[in-house]
Amino acid sequence: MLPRGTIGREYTDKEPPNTEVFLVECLAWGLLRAYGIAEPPVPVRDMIKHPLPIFERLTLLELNLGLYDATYRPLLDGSQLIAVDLAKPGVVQRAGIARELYVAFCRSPRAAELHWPRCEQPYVYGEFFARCLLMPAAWMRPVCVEAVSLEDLAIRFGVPVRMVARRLSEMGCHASGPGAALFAHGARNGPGCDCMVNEG
Amino acid sequence: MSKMVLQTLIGSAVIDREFCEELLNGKRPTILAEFDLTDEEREAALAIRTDSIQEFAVGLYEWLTV
Repeated sequence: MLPRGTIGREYTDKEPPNTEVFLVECLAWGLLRAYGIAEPPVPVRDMIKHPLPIFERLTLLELNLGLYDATYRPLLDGSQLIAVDLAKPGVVQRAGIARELYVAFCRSPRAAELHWPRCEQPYVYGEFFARCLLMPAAWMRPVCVEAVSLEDLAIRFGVPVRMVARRLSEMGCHASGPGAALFAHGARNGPGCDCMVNEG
Repeated sequence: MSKMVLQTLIGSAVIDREFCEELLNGKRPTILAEFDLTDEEREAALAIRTDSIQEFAVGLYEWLTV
């Protein structure tokens, strides 16, 4: 049985400092390097099945949640889990698992000893971390010069189309065509690519 | 310093306590020698005096973006 959790998640309208954004991106890239993952799609389920020491006693539970696509929960015995909703599309599950992996990090002793920024509000950076983990800049920059549709990119990276659009936008990529509305959110990250993307 | 090398350095330190301690103490030159850095980049990384990986990251980020 899952312990009771807090309903509702913390978000902020304030623009995060670039240095905090940079740190979160470093964490995502560091994890990929530590796992030896060199190309998409990132096997985010396997990352939890074979956790690094900082994710000690973290397991993945796959069931029908009905409320969240995925959620992190610490358990009474000191272990922790990420529960993912099997009723959701696979790409949504992957995005949710990646996001909750960041929550797990924020709840870890390592994050506490580092005084990790906004640990008490892990969802401030959770979605951004998920995008960095599943679509790291090093892999996205090359595709920015390809005439490839958002849908094809989503398939390649195993993520929702909207998530690809958000990532390209924050990296400073431009889009045109009927899908351009997906780029409505402005970039908030630092250095990025300057490119065109075919909406397909 | 290329951004990805920088991210690898910092990311590794964030998730690996032992690596982090070595990076922030006297073993930093040895650690940096394992990364593909220019002399200028290595000097910038060596010049940051801190025992905090966050401050180290901020220092390198500012050096990178100035």
